[in-house]
Amino acid sequence: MLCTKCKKEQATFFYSQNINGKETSAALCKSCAKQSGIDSSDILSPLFHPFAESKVQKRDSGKTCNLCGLTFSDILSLGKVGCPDCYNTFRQELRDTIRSIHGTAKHVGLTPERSTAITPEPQKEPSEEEMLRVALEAAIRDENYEEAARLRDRIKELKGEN
Amino acid sequence: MDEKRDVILRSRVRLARNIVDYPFAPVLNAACRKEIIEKVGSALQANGYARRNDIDNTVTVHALSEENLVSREFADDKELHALLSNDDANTYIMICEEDHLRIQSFADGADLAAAGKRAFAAERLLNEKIKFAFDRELGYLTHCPTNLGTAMRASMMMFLPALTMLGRMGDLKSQLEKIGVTIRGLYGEGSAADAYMYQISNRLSLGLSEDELLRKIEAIASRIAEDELRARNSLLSARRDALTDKILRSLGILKYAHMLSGKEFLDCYAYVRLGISLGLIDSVQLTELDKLLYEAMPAHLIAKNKDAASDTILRDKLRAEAIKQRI
Repeated sequence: MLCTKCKKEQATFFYSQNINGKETSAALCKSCAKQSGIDSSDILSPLFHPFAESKVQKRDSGKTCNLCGLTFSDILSLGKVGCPDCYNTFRQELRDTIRSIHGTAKHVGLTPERSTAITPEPQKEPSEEEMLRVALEAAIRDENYEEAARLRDRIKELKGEN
Repeated sequence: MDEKRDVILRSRVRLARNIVDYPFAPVLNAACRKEIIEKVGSALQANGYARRNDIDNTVTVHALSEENLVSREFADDKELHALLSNDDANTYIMICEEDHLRIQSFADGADLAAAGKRAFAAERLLNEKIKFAFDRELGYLTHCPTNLGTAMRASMMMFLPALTMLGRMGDLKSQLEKIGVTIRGLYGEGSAADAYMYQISNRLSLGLSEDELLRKIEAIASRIAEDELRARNSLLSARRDALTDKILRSLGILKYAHMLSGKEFLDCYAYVRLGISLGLIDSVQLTELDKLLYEAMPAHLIAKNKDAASDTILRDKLRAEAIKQRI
């Protein structure tokens, strides 16, 4: 199929979107996709691919997102989701990936309902123990158990000193 | 003088927000882009924000990107997009970048708290009028899953010549990586020609609150700044003559050169900046020198004289002139 934009090159990117019932779709070649902001380097380079290190299995349940029309395979190949609703449609499929990026899949910050926005308190230096705990979590996440054991021992030592 | 000001030049807080019921910006058509731009513009009307109509000029928008006020991607984007900035020129809102909204606030020196306060003040105004895409479990929803949660990047621009020259950046980088913090060269990967300028920021945005992230980055940057100041003193005692010579020669070049390439400027800038911090130069003000970090960049020079776009000799002459006006 030829690119719907330049009508010269072979289309390699396909998307459709549905906004308030109005559906539009397009099939783009590599350079038109890039011009439209779908940067092919995101797709081709594993370095910039948030799903690169994901342990998630490439599986496609056949579901498509109601708002943007992407399937889970589309998301895997783009490395990014198409719209906010994708996170709900593919919640189960994305959970492992999100956990592997952030080490957690649970937001603890601000919500849209808060009556007052945050105003950061004067800075308090984190204690050595707090820093070590963060490093320990990271080591466990990276399955670096030797480093984790060393950090755990240091935290124990610190507790002994206090 | 605040010693940390020698090391931490600027603090920035960036928030990503998306509006419900629209796909993310890269697959957004022109009609939807227009709707979003109007929604955001009217939400901030009468609150001291104005739409920057000058971004249609390629040179102007690239000059903004040289000052890191907008992203490079935003400056290069040919699709419909918009920029709002406030009267104080410390908060910039990019509309239809990778996310529908990218709110960026800045503060001079080491003051993430001030930058954070500004960014959240703008976000609060928008939150009253616009329904942002938010999920109880995942927080603010973003185009790239790496920005989920708080959707916040807290960053500080740091000048680290001594830690770089002493070969300590590799270790620092891997230590920071383990605790979810990124440090990268602002102009390249840590050589003299990159002005030894770095940006430190949180890599992870989910699982810690906004306050915790701001405190974490500020505390880490503060420790790095202390290390850098100590490293500068050991560098000076180990290589006093060679370093003094290099610093004063660099000052001579900045003061008297007739033509200067961007690369040579950044190299000399870095040594002169170090010289001021070490007390070897007292004839140049740090604040004046730092203005050159933007004024001597290509888009800024081309904004002054459009012929400099194709004429590199002219550009190098304009750069040398701009420098002489400041030091």
